[in-house]
Amino acid sequence: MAAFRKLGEKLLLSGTSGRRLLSTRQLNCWNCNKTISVQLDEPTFTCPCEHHVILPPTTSNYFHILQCDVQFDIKPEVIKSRYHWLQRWLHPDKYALKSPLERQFAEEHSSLINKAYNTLSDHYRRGLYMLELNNVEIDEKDNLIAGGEEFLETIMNINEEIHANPSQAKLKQLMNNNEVSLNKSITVLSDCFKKNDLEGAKSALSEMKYYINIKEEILSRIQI
Amino acid sequence: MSSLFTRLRPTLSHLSRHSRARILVAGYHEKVIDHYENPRNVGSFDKNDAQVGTGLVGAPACGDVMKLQIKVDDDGKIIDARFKTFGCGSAIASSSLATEWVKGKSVNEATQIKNTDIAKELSLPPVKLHCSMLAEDAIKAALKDYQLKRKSKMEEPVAAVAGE
Repeated sequence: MAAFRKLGEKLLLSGTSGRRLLSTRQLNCWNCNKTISVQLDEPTFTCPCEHHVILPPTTSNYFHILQCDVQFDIKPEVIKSRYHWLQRWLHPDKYALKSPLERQFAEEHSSLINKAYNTLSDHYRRGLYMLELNNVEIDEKDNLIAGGEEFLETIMNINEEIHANPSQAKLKQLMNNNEVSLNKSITVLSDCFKKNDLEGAKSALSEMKYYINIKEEILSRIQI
Repeated sequence: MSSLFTRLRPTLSHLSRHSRARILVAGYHEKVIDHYENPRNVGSFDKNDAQVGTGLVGAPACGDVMKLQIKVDDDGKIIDARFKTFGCGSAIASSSLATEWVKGKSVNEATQIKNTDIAKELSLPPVKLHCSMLAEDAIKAALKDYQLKRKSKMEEPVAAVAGE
């Protein structure tokens, strides 16, 4: 196993030393040693040789893995079907009888595909990931928020209402109000990313986190 | 998971209640758990009271929200404190400890409370340091609110004289 991994690393190294173009990159197949040119913004999973062996992951960008444009507004059904299709193809169980190296690559792909889907299928995580791609993060020390003290007071009041043993009807009403706020934040977030307003996106995501916590708190008390 | 617990249960039952609790909530220090289970000074004061300073802060990365209030007597001594925190155990423990610490201190002394002291007292791990920072921010915000109120109260008669 160790010998195989070493071989893989060696081949990977020979791959990255290939000539780099703007949107493509050359790498050598670990199996047939053929030079393949891969797109930087599109995943290449297998070598086009007759064996169709699995290549190591060529990109770690979640949008590229699920083959959609790097933008906030994505169609959930599109990434869902893309995700299912990829997992059917690249799931490590399908490579149980293949070489350890190929099985390892299938595991790497599968894990990346899972991470990509988990991140992109959720508005909040997708927003955070887009900030991360732009090297912006919500700082834990950052206590500023667009709404300021007034916003925090609203959040405080909602939390107090939830913790004051409200009736199920009241909880449902709080839930509905919270969903409205959450959807408003998502709309703002989408607009900010369209305008490439990263500070605005950061502030919308910060607000969203409070609403998400409230939602979880209500869900833990509501009886369906 | 359940089978693992079934196998562990005979072992656990031999341990004292105290050490068992420590195993089951591994990750939180016992001081944090103590403050979490028996929070000190929970509640609120009337924020319009001239003696009361209110600090309301939030942590956007984790969505925690914390309110800390102080009650100050005429000599500038903090005679009472209250808090309300909606967030993780460390945030609750940090604010609970903060209310204990500010009590009996003068307004000036209270500004000296550092988040590092809170984190040290509660043995917070590095990923939870921001919870103690939130508590420090809450103390500072409460003190600032009180000082602003005091300042405007002292300026009131002057303004009235100037208006005449």
